Amino acid sequence: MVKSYVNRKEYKFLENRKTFFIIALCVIALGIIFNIFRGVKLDIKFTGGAMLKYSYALDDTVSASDVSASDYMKLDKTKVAALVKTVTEKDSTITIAQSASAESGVKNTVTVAMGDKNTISEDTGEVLAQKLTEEYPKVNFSLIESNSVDATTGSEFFGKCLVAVALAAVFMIIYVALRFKKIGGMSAGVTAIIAIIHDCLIVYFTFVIFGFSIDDNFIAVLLTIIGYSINSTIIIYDRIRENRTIMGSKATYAQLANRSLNETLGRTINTNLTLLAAVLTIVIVAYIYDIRSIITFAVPMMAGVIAGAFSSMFISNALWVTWREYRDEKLALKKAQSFVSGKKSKK
Amino acid sequence: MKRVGKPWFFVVAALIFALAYTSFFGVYEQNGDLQTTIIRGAKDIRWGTDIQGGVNVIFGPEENIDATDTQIDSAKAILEIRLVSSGVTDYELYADKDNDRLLVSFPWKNNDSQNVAGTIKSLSQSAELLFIGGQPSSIQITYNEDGTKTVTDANGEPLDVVIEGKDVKRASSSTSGEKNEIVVNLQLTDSPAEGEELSGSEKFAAATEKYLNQQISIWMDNQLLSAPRVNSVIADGNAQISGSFTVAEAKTLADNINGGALPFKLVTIDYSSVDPTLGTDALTAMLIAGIIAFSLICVFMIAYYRLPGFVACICLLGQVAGTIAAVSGYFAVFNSFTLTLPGIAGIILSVGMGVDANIITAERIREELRKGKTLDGAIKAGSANSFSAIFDSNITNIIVSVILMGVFGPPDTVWSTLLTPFLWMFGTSTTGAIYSFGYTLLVGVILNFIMGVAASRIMISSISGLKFMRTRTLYGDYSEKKKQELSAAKAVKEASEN
Repeated sequence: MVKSYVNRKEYKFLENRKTFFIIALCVIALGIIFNIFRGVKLDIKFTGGAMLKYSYALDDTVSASDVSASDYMKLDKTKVAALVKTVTEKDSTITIAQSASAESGVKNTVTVAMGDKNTISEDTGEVLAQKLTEEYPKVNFSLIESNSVDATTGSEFFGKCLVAVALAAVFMIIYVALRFKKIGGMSAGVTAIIAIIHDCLIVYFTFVIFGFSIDDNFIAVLLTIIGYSINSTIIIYDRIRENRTIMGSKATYAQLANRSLNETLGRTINTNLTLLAAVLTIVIVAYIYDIRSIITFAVPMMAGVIAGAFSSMFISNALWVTWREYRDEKLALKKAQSFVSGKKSKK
Repeated sequence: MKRVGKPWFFVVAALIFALAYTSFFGVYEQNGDLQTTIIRGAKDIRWGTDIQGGVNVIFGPEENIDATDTQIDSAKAILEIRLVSSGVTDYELYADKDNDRLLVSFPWKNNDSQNVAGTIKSLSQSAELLFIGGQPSSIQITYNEDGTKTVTDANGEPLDVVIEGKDVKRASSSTSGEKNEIVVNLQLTDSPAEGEELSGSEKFAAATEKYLNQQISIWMDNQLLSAPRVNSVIADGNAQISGSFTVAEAKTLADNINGGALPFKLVTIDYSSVDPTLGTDALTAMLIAGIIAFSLICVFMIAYYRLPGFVACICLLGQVAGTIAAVSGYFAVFNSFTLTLPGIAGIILSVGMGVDANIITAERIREELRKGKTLDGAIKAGSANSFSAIFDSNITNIIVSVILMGVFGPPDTVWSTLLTPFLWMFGTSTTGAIYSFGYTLLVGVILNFIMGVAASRIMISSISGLKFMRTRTLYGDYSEKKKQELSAAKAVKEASEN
C-alpha cells in the first residue's frame, strides 16, 4: 500500500453520497415544478412565427420642458395590438419595455410577437412603423429587429439541434467506455452521461426560471456545459484509472474514488473558480451594457458551470461506485449460487 | 525527457508574443493611399449578423414548385450577382438543393439604418435578362405604366432589345469542337411566350441576321454578362457562345442566363434582421468582459501557481491569439470565418479548457514535489502524468465540435458528408451561428494541444534550467520552506529557553 504522502485531511466525499443524490433530485424536482407552473418558451426560431422590435424616442420637435412629454411616450398595448391587426390581420402579443443602461441611456422598446406559426412579409415592419407614427405623432419609431420564421424550417432546426446533442452524447459514451475499460468502461461512460444529463437539466431550468426563450443560444450553452462537465468527470476518472494501478485490487471502489477526488480537489476548485469568475465577468458587463442576447447565454452558462462542478464531484463517480459495488455483489451472489447449485448437481 | 535547453523558453515566448501582436493588430502595407493587408488583425474579423447587425434570409420558389438542381444553381447565381452589384461582398450564400432553399446572410454596411424590406425585395425580384444589339457601355431600364419597359443607354437613346429571359429555354456549358473549347450553349424557345407573336428562335434568327459580324450584348439587371460577336445567322434556336472561358466562367454565365429564364419567382420564406447599433454594443461588452476575465485569470494563475502560472498566462495569450488568427484567416490569402455569439461561447469553452490543462499540469508538478521528488523529476513526472487527463477531455470536445460542424455547417463539407447517415431526415439547411461554435471549439482544442500542452511544457522545462528559477516555492512547494521556518522557530524557542 502506498502511504498517503499528503499529511492533509482526506475529505470523505463518498460516505454521504446518498445525501448528494437527494440534493440533486430535489433540485431537479424543483425545476420540474417551476417548469409546470411557468411553462417554457420556445423561440420562434424553433416554432415558427414572427417578431418585430422597435425602439422609440420622443420626436426632436418636442422640447424637454414640454409638460406632457411623458404622456406622448405612453403607449397603449391594446392600441398597438389593434394596429398590428389592421396591418397583418393577425393577433399579437405586445411587450413594452423601458430599460436603462449606463452606455446607451434609456432604451424604450416595443416588441410585437406573433406565435402560432404566423409569418409576416418583409415589409410589415416598415408599414407598421408608419401606422405607429400616425397613432403617436410625437414619437419616433425605428425598427431594430425583425424575424419571421416558417414553421417547417423552425421545427427542422429544432430537430437538428436535438439530434446534434444526442449524437454528441452517444459518441462520448463510446469514447469514454473505450478509454476507461480498466475501470469498467460502460459504467464509466453511462455515469458520465448521467452527470451530463443532470447539468443539461439545470441549464434548461435556468432558462425556464428566468423566462428566457429556448433558442440557438440554448443549444450553444448546452454544448459548452456538456464539454466542461465531461472534461471534469474524465479528469477524476483518469485519476481513478491511475490509482487503480497504484492502490491495487484490494482497495474498495469507494476508497479509490475518494482518494482520486481528494487528489484532484485542487484542480477542481481552481478550474471552476476561474471559470466562474470569467463567466461572472461576462454577466456583469452584459448587465451593465444591457445586452440581452449575452445575458441569456451567460447566466445559464454560470448555472451550468456550478452544476458541472457539482455533478463531476458528487454524482458521476458516486454513481460509478454504486454501480460497481452492485455489480460485484451480484457477481458474488451468482458465484455463490452456482457454487451451491454445482454442489447439488454433484449429489 | 531531457530538460529543454535554456534559450527555448525565450524562443517560444517570443513566437507567442509575435503571434499575439500580429493577430490582434494585423500587418498592413501602406502604399500611398492604398493599404494592403498582409496579415489580418482582430479588426478584420467578420462578425456574424447577430453581433454586427445584418440580414438573414431564406428564399425558395413559390409554393408547390419543385425546382430542379440547375434552377436552384441559377437562382443562386442571380443572388450572387445582385449582392456583389449592390456592394455587399462579405455575404454568405448557400444553396440547399434537397429542400429548394437559398440561404443568404450579410451584415449591414456602415452602421446605416437600412431598409430591410427594400433590400430583401431587390434581391429576390425577378431577374431581367436582356440581349441587346450592339454593346452600349451601360443600360437603363424604365418600366412604363402599361407594363412594358423601355431600355436606353446612358444618354437616353433607346436600345434594340432582341430577346429577353422568357425567350431562352436553357443555357448550359460544355466542351465542343476538336480543340475541346469550353462553350456556353444557348437554347431558345420554339413557341412564342405569352402575349408574343414570335418564338425565341425566330427572334434570334432575325437578330443574328441583323447583327451579323457585330456584337450582341447580354445583360442581367443592368450588369453586362457577356458580349459575344455574331459569326453566323442562327436559325434553329441553338447558339453557342465561345471565347476563352474557363470551366467555372462558362458555368457562371450559363447559370446567369438560366436565372433570367427561371420559370418561377423567388419568395421569402424566413428572414431576420438585426439593427447594427444593437450589435456594436454587444461587441464592446464582449471585448471589455474578455479583457477583464483574462486579466483575472492571469492574476489568479500567477498568484497561486507562481512560475507555472506565469508560463500558463503566456500560453493562454497564445491560445487566444491563435483562435483570433484562425477566425480572421490571418494571412490575407486565407479565407476568413464568420464569428457569431455562439462562436464566442466556443472560444470561452476552449480557453477554459486551456486554463484547465495548465492547472492540471501545475497541480501535478506541485504534487510530485510534495512527494519529495527533485525539481527536474517533478516537472517530468508532472507533465507525463497529467497528459492522459488533458488528452481524453480534449478528445471528447473534438467529438462535439465535429458533430456541430457536420450538423450545422454548409453542405458538401467533409464534416457534413461524414454525418449524412444520421441526418437523412433533415435538409441541408445551415445555421451559421452554431457552426461557428463548432469551428472555434475545434480550433481551440487543437491550440490547446499546441499551447496548453506542447508550448507550456517546453517553457517550464526550459525555464527551470535557469539558476534563479530553481527555488521550489516558485513551483508551489512550500514544505521545505515550512520545515525551515519550523526549525528556525524551534531554534529561537530553544535559544530563548536557554
